Amino acid sequence: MRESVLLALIHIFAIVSTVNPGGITSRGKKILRSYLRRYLNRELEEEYFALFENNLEFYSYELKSVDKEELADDGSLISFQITNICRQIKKGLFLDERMIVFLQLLEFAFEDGQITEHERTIIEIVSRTFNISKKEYDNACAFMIGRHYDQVSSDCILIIESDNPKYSVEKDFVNYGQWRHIKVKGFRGQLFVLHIESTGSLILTYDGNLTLYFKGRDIIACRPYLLDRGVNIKGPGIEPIYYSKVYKAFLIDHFLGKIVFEGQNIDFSFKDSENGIKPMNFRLESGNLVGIMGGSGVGKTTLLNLLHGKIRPDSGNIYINGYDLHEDSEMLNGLIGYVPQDDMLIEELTVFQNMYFNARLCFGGYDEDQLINLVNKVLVDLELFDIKDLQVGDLLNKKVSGGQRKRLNIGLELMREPAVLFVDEPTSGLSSHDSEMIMTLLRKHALSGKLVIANIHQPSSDILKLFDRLWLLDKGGYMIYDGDPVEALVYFKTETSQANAAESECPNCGNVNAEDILHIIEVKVIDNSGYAGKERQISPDEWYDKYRKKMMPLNVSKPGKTDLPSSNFKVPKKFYQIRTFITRNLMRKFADRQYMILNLLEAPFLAFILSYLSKYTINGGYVFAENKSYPVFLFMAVVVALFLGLMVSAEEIFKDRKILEREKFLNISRFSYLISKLHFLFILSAIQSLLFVLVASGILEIRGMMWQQWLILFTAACYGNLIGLNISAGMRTVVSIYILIPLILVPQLLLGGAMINFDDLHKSISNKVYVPVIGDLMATRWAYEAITVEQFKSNKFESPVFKYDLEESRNDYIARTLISELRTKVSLYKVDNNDPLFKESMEKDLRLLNFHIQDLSKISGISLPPEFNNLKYKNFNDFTADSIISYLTTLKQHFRLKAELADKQRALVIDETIKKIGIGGYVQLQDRYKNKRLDEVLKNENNPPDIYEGKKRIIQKTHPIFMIPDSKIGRAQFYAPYKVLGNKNIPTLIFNLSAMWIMISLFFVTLYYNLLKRFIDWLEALRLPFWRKFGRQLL
Amino acid sequence: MKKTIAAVILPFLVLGFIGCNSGSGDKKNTQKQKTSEVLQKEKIEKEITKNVYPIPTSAQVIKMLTDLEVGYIIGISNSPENSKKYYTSAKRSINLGVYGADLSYATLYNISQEVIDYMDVIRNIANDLNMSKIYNAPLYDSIKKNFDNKDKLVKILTDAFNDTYAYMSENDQQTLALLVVGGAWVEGMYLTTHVSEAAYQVSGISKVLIEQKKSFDLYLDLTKAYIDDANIKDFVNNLEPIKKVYAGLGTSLTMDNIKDITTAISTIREKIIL
Repeated sequence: MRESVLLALIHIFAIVSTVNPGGITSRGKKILRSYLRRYLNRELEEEYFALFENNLEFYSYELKSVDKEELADDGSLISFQITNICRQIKKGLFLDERMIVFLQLLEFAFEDGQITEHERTIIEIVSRTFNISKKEYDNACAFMIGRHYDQVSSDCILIIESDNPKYSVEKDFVNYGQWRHIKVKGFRGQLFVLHIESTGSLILTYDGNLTLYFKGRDIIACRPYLLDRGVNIKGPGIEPIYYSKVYKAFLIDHFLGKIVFEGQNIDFSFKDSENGIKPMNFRLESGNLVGIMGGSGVGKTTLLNLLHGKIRPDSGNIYINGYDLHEDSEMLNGLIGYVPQDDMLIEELTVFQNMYFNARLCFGGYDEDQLINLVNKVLVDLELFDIKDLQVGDLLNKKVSGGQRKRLNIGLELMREPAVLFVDEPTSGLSSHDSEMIMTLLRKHALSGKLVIANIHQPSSDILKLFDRLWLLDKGGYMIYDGDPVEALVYFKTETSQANAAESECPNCGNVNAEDILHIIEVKVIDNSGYAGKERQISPDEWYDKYRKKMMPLNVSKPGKTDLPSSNFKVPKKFYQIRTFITRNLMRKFADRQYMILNLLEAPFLAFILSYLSKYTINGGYVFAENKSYPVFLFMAVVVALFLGLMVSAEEIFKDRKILEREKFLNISRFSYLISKLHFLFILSAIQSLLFVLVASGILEIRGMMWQQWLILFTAACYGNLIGLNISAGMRTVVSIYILIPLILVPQLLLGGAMINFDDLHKSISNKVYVPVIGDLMATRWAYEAITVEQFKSNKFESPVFKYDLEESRNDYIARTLISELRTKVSLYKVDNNDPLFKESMEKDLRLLNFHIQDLSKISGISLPPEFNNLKYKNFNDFTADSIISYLTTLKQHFRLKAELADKQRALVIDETIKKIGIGGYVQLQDRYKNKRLDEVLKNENNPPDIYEGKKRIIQKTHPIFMIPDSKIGRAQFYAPYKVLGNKNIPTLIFNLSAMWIMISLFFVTLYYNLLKRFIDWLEALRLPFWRKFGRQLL
Repeated sequence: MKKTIAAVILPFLVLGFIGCNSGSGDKKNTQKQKTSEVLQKEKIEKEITKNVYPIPTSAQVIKMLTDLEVGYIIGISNSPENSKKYYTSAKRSINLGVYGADLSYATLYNISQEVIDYMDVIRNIANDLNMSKIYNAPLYDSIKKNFDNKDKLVKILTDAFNDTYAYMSENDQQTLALLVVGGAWVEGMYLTTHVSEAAYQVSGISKVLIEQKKSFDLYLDLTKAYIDDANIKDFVNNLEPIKKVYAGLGTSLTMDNIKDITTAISTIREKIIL
């Protein structure tokens, strides 16, 4: 009892004693002493008794002048004074404490078996001042003073009696039929229980001849007692009457839908491990708070995961109202709630926002006002309303206390009012006050007709008593106890034959020590020398056997399906989810100011460094055309974009994986979540790329390339975003994410096309004709090619003449290089065509010749003499050689002319330009738009040889930028101006961007299905022998 | 079982992936390839000798200037900046010749910065003419290596002129080849007549100029075959002033003769480098 309550009582008792007409009698004092003795030890009893006498003296002096007759009059001075005193007292008392004071007062006044008029008056005043409702006042008076049970509202009374109808008192009471009943086998007499609704207090009186006792004390017949929480009533030859059973009997009507949660033969074991859950049955009903207790590592969380459906049992089934947890999961949607041990809060958001977004995702049918009202209501219930605008913060930078966080976490689930709620370790790491608060919250939820199952490590006595049912797990996943929590200690003491077996709680303080239970379970065998040995006296499986025999329900038949409670949980439509996620994500990001500033400044700053350093000047002046570092700058820009995209997203999902798990549990679409991530990242990438391009083109004086460069860099950044998201979804630790980043970036750097010429790669990879496949997998290669080709092709200087340049280069190559090469080959074999030494190489060369002659005849339209159609080694002679040479010469002249024509056409175009802007303008155009170094790179000018002899044909190596690739499926040499698909020439910019977006889409698919994680899990599951050996050696 | 299979297969898969692309059979051909390469080279060399630079190259002309011990004059050669103005093959070819002469001038006078600049500009023009082969890094390296050996330098530069001429002729670009020769000749003349403010005072100059008249006549003969080509025609027309001056000359040159030649060459050069 709280001191304030006790003091209040002493005061009121003193007043009662004073107003009694006979004053305080020795009998009265005796009554008080016996009263105090019931609650206090000897020393305190003396202390409070002395206090009582002091008060008595004080009040008798104060009230002496008052005429006793006035007492009945409401307006009288004495009642005024008493009201005053009561007002003083009530300030320090909570509602339930006031009720206790009031009930104690009744009990005290009735201590002598009668109640005087004065006492009744004071009781009335007290009840009025304490705001006790008329109904409860009447009920209490009727129940306690006169034991007129028929006068008590029939919904507030419960009768416990024998199950034998012979002993029933049905005929004695008018309202008997409307009361609640609990039948106990072997019970004699009647135990009446009054329920005070406002505080949930229970008062009992016993009428009968059994020696009932609770808290180790006898219950005296016909005397009212307050039944404290968690106190069980016992008697000889009867089953204990559990507090929870009595208490719940009063609530049963309030339950809307009854829930039966059943498990049949469920059994689970981890691969290659003894651990798991041994076969068990259970049956739980709504309205219960169930605790799962056990030492560490016994499988509490595993059991919880089994029960809420995260893992499937190896055998057996779990049913909710007859619906299988896994088979009928559709039907059970929203009925199950789960609060994991880890924090599921979004650190950057406020308490309110956390709840609000949760609500938006859980209540698809609600409108904005309903949502806000709901959230506010829940926050009030959780006592978090005052801190609703506080940012949650992370664990290191705590803004919200541990207890509040836990409540908030639970609130996220409680909000949905799930019919079955699982809570993993709700009190770990919390103060006893916070723990109690949370447990009370859970209990309240259970009492509202739900089922709550919580893991708990070592509950305090008060918390233990809050549970309606306790499960104990022992090492190896053995269930060893399923029953009343307070009785657990008795059970284990009895089983181990301890002396004070029947004592469930400390006789002095009424505490139940949960640790004692665990100690008893694990008592060790005493060895010869008297020390505790290693073996346990009773092993887990022995305890398990006892459990199976004594406690395990034997329900093996499949339960019939009954109605499921309705749930207001409704996952909103995808589009709405996306919107919610997007808002949530944006709010998160904007709440993190450091993150935003850093991300927005990083790109322009890098652009500044990069372009400033690569601004090559000659003779103190800067000319864009002369900037030798420009190609390198472009490549670095691509790398920077990719890198920025990667870094900004590499931890994005990783941070949320707990929240994601929960959302998966709630069936909220992963797609929507991912879209919201992409939405933000793409916008950020777009802004970053824009800032980058703006700063860089300002410094390097790049003209007319703004939107193309932006688009390319943006795409590269998006590609980085997707890679980052993939690894952030697939990796289990931050370290592995950062280990993986170089693994991804290094090939991107090396195979981007700028660092190493694709032809110079290892010969197993390079095919000399097209970019090798491994290069095609790199985003840098597409982006860099696009950005360089676009710069070359589409700048203001080149774009009007590009097609002539291309035409000229093509024809010139054929005339100058290809035909000369072919001619040389033919004239070579003209001399040596009989030498068998050359047969092989000649056959190969003839293959080349056949291919090219036919190809060239097709291009030029100069028909091929039929005898050249298929040149063979055996019919090759001097004559054919001569005619081929002369045919080639014709071709050569043809292509030379075409080249010259293109040259002239180009000159005409330029003439026009010069006419408009003058020769000075033309030179300026060159200086501003045409970068010389880039030209050299794209024309492959510093990189002999001009050709490469392939197996089937001769491959041009010069002027890749003017070469239309011959693959019809888009494969091409690096720096190709177009890619060919079917018969269409697709500009490199468009083709490459498309290629990258296709890759981005593919990465989205892998992200959606989280393939990286699956792959890693698969690798781990393999447990390759060499891998294990390696691990051992490492140790 | 599954694990063992996977354990065995996985490394093979990786190896297979790496290995499948590495071709085979390349070695067999190498030897024969080499023999045929040797033959091919001989062939090309043979053909090149057919197309020899028809007149003394600018390098040889400028060597004569150095022998006269006149100084190097900065700023008389064609500015590399002008290269941006040449956008037709004809203009590019002419000025390839011009810059070739300028390169010879800078090289033989050991002005290294100018050598670099002219190499650069020549490479650019050669690239535009699709003949990047000749004016490449090795040429620059051998110039640098022999910077003090004038005879060797003349040989290197003359080879370069020869190569250019041969390469173009070989590729049915006879006319462009002649334009290179013409450009180089004009620039050689221009440099000769501008070695000092009063070139006529330099002893030995007239001998050089007389020498050049032979080249000029030879050149005009060569162009006759191609006079139908618009570019050639244009270029030869431009040469008209010097043709006139040379026509009225005796066996030795007077001061006025030299002045006339100087004026004529300046006019021509102004036209072709613009």
